[in-house]
Amino acid sequence: MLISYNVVSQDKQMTTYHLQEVTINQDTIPSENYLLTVDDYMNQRNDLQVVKRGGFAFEPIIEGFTDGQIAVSIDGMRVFGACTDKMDPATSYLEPVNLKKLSVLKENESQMYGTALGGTLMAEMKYPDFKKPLEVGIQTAYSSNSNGFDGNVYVEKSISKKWGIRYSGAYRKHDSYSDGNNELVKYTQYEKMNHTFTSTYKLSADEKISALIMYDQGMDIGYPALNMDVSSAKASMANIAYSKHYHNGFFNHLEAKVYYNSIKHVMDDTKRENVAMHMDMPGESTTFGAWALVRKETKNHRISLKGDFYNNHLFADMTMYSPSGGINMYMLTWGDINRNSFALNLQDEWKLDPRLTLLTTARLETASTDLQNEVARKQFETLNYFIDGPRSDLSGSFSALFKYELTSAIESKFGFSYTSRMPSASELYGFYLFNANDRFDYVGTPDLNNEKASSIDFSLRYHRENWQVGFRGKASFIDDYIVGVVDEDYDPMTIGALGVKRFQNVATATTSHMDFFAGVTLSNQLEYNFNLVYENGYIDAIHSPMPYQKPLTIKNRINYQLYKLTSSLYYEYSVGMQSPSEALGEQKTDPYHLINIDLSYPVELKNTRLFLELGVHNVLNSYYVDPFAWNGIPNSGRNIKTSIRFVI
Amino acid sequence: MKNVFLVLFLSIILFSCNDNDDQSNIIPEEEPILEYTIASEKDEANLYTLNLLSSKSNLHEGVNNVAFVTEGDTLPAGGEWKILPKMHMQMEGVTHVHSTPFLGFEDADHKSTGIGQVLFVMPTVEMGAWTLEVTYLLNDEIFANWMFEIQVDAIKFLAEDPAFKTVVMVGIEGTEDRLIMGYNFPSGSPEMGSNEYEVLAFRRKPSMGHGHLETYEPLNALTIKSTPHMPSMGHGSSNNTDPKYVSEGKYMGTANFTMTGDWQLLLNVSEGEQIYLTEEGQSFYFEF
Repeated sequence: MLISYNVVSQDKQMTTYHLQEVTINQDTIPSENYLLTVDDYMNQRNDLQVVKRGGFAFEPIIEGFTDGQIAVSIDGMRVFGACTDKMDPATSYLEPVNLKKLSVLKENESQMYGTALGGTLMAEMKYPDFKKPLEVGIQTAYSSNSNGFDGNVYVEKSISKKWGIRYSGAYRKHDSYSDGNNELVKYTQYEKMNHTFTSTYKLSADEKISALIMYDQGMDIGYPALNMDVSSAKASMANIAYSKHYHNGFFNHLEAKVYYNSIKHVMDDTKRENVAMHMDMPGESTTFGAWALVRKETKNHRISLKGDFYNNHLFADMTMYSPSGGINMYMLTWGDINRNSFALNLQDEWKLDPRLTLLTTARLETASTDLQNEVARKQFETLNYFIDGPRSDLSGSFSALFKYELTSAIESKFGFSYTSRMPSASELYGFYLFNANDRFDYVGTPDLNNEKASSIDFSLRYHRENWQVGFRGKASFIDDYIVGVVDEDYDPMTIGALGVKRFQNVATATTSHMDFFAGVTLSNQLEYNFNLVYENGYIDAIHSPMPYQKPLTIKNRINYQLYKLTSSLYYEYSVGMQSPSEALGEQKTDPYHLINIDLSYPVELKNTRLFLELGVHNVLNSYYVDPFAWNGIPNSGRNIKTSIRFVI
Repeated sequence: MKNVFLVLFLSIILFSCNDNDDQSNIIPEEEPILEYTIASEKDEANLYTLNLLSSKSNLHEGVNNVAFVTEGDTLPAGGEWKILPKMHMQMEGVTHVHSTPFLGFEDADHKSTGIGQVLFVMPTVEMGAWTLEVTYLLNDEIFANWMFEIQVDAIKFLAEDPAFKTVVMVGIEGTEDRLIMGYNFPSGSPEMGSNEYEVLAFRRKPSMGHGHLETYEPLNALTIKSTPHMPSMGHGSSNNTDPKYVSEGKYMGTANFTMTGDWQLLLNVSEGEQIYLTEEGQSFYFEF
């Protein structure tokens, strides 16, 4: 259960700490220990925030940017959730046991994977690494608070020197948890399983083919902050990749991938009490795509060119069952929204001077988005939008980042970027999507303009052999910010909704992010990390703070190695949400203190290793509400998690 | 069923033929397409065949788009058509007869009556049957007549609410008259999306006495406010337009239906200062 990550959360620099055998950096999923869910993992990171609607499927937020403003890449694939209410962010279909890295890319690096204002969340899967002929890991755990079982297994085998395969599976089942007041938080239960096969075949020392097949299924997932739960969320993903290094030739590296993924998501309200009207709300998202990347390295340049295509198809509908035995009602919420996107991305890392590097990125994306379903088009006619074909969008970004080493101990970065992103499917063609947080029905606007952000970014890091300290700041100025604006002329549909909001471009929003970090390695046995984050944003047009701005939060971690026992003490303090975006459903939350303790003890056996692990999370049994939690759903109270892990 | 010929009053509409024999297309493009032959009758002399066409596969309570079209031997040109719908109710051994309002049949010639709209105020019931009497008059003489015995289906709803109506019928205060209204979707039926619809409105005046039928006067000066509403969901829709007068007895509006299901058109109807109907009262209702 040990999770340790470095404090340099601000860039992709892979500073590593050595605590005996545990070598961890901020992006890597820690050492064969896959007990944490992807949700926990995202939640604990310094460079990522999450929105909680319950105990599962947290939605990632990067520096206040969300959904259509960030990109998610899973093993090089674009994956789009199939739920109109964002119950299934693409990350909810992942399991740490099949992940090699989960990176948060910001500024320049993020643009390779999508036109994203806020950054990219990039998950890299584990592929056979040919280090051992056979490796097997198995782990089970029990959580006291939610009577929860977590188990995972993986088998990695090198069939030959050229061919390796890896299977990983995970299963989790948790009942609803209790909060810090020992009160049951209903509908926080979940169950899921995941099966992932990966394989690598080396055609030669420089050339390989790899493939992935993944199936993930969530069942009986509760969402206490929403009106509905989920009975089934199934994701199937597959891809084949090819890569080659060239020793001579114009390019040094070629990489290409084709992929397909399909998600089927079924909401369910049959287990809820006092349901005014039972509804079925299934959704489907299918994406296929291909990309190719070439890289050329010269003495002072590292140039990458990537061409990327994807097609995403979304369908969701809604059947409402008359409570009085009358006729049932039906409508389309995503009426066959089909998007074809093609993007070209050029990146150059230019060493201007031994101490100065300029990273420049240019991205151009062209997309065609259509509402294909005739009935859905008729629905939009009721809003006076007559859709008779696809709309075309041109989006993209340009950014430049200077990295400068003032001295061998001082690093600084200064960057600026301009990004223009096209509206998301829901923002364009979503039809009466209920937002349980602000309790408004949201209606898409088919003639929305691109949202544009200009950002500047600055960081400074001072590091000595055993300690470091640093600061990073970012400010974004957003034009044509896309936000739901109340339209009094529209009648809400959802029972209990306060009104209708239509996605509109509004003039100027600004957001700023600031974090401060420090770390010290006191000895081979002891290290301490500190991180402080504060964000602030405002939307002028609706006179409201921007949502999902992290209030002042401090995270401290001490890792201590006592002989073979690895221990970690984590302490988090947040001032709570002080200036919520009430217009968009946020509410004030109280300050809180959170303490977690994790212990891991290895037992050496013949040819195998056995790990005994114990975690006590929320040691103080604090009752607290995450600042971004929807509808004030409290977090889990004290939880004692025990685990046994075998690695052969 | 042969009936005693009743003295008729006003509810017989006489209309003359269009003498232009060259006009082959009797159905203008905007008009509903009458693709169903509901009935086919020979006249009393067994010479001329007349078909009853409708835009739907059955006749039903409410507004029906129909036409009578000859088949085979052609009638002489220059005549006039006369149409009379009748409901024959058996009550305690006595037959009571009443009629129902209709409009249109303006593009008539010797081959066809042209398209018109019959608003059946009630369906065929166990003790009551509908007939349609059609007569072709030449120089005010009956040249041919046909008797259609027809079935008018009830429109049934899953919801049971006395205010949910296909045909609105309310008394007009201070008189024995009644306001009669029906709706018609030119596209055929209400559907998801934006729908143009017609409201047909008549003032029913009671029968002048035994042997007389009641009469229906088209109402042309109504103010109609019509609000789509889903009773089970408790919401409506946006961007609707109220029905406005377009022709004799007919008003045209737009209703937006954002989903399928149960929809009401809540009605506020007035004429000048006089309020005939408020939305707490009867409303048009449909399930689709």
